[in-house]
Amino acid sequence: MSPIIEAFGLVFQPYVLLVILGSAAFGMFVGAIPGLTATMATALLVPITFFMDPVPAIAAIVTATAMAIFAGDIPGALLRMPGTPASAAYVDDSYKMTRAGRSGEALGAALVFSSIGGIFGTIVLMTSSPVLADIALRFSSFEYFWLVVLGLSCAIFVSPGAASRGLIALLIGLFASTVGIDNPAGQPRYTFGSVELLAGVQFIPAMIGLFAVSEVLRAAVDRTRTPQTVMPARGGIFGPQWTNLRRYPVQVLRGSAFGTAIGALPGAGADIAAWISYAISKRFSKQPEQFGHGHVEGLVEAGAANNGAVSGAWIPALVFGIPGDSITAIVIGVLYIKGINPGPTVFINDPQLIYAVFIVFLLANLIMLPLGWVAIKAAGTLLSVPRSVLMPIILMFCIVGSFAINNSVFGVGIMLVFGLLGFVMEENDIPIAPAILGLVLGPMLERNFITSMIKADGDPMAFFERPIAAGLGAFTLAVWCIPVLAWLIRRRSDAAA
Amino acid sequence: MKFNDVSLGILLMLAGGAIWLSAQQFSRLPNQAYGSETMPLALSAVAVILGVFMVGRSLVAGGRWPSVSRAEWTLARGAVAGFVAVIGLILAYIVLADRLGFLPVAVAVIWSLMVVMRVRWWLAGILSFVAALAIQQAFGRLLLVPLPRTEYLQFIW
Repeated sequence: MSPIIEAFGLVFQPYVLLVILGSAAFGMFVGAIPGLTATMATALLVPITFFMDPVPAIAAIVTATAMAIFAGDIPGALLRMPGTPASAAYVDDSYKMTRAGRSGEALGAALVFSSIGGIFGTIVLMTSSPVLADIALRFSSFEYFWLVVLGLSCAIFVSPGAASRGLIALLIGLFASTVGIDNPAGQPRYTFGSVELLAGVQFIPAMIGLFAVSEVLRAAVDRTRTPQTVMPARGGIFGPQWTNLRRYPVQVLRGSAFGTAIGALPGAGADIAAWISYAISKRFSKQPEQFGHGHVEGLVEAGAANNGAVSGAWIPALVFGIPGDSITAIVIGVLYIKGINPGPTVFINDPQLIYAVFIVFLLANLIMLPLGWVAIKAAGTLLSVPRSVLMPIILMFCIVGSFAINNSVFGVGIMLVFGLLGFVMEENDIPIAPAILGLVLGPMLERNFITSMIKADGDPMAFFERPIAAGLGAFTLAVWCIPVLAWLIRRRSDAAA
Repeated sequence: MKFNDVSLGILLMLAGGAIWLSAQQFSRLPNQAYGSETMPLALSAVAVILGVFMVGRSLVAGGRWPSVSRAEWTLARGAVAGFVAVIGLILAYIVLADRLGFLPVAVAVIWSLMVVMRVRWWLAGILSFVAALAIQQAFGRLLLVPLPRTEYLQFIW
């Protein structure tokens, strides 16, 4: 049977479709609650996907993520409180449109162009990843080493805040990845006599801690939040979008393309894609002065970009096993647990799985339209759930989810430690995403480095002998050197002035 | 707790030193110059270099000394109690769940945190019971996670 037909068979089953529907509603709910991110939705879903086959597990994560990114626009438009960081770029415009009685148009634009961006990203994913996988099959440990270093470097430089803080986060993640017996000499490292730590730091409890428990801690200490009155959505939702599409076709295409490209960059996710696309939209707009005052143009472009990025992030994850963002980092962890090693060989060994992912992406972005419409209409009810009720329940989900991975309270302990770590990190403006990438990619970095050094008999120049490795190496070094050179030039010109 | 760049730099140098010392106990692969100690040693080197850079840059820029300041949220009334409550409740779950069973401990954890977060006690009571029961049914019965259970509440499983 052809893998494509097999993939259709895998996806179009009542169980999988039900999972898609359920996770869509879940993603919509989490995304619509200010402060809860798409990554958190994924983190909370993982313990449930643990009990599913690979296709419904991936379907659940893909659908929930796409929905959460869009749903983040709902509180942004109605309360001026972006539900996810990816919606923050254009929150002023959408909120001012709401105050002008155009909330239906604002939310409709977010919905329709999110869907278009997501479908565009999926088409790029479908067309580019098999080609890239073909190339990746010829990669050796040298190329993989550079790819991992490039991914980790990008994660540092595209993180919000200073690069030094991004590097601290990366060091934390890489250090956590050294725990356990899975290392070149098979010697227990930093296990302190614990049998549970021999298998390493459990990835899922660590991630639940970093993303969800730290957020519960923040909610518990935040005494300033006051309930706000939700303004109901007014005006047509889909009607004005045809006009917007005809008025801003270039912006839609540009947002989708940039979003997908930025998403494919390891370490950069939907939030960065939205900010960059909003800035580009303003830069090339005929009415830049209107931005921030209830203008739909930036919303159209950045809305398409953030959902395009969700699909784009899957390109390096599926092809090289290198996550494009925190969510795909989690997905890679889930796939490893299920015995599937993301990388070019998946395209040969499990092609039906890859096609199933493509189908799920298309379905998720199409189902977003009717479900998004329902969510916009039900926004008042969705947003009236107070955080003081939600957070204690989320904490219990976190505890049970961390327990369920190994049926041991040790996972709950890991979750607590990483929750505190995540809280302290964010207090000190240390981003969390590089830590997650470090935790996921640490073993791959170590394995490929040691293998390459043994192959090269200790000669570091061997890392530049193969053409693709040399290109990747040069690019990685440029990523590190260009900011340093720019800083030196700036200092020199400052001194001259 | 907020650390300035100098404090963070010093912490990094200390952590780098500790990792370097601990890495001495790890062995190499037979007949190779690399092994279990390679990655920790590389990390310790990066940590020390970054620490030196952060301290140096900060001292050159403003001459600031190491400082650890209280975060703004600690000044708000009840905030520290909220923080301690979350940690204490997770620890309580770890200690008590096996002895008392999932449901009573889950109800107590959710109820306590809701009350700390200023939900009315009676409403918190109803919501915590419903939520804990729903989680128990979803994970314990549907997904067959062996959540801790006790004899006296056997009927709900």
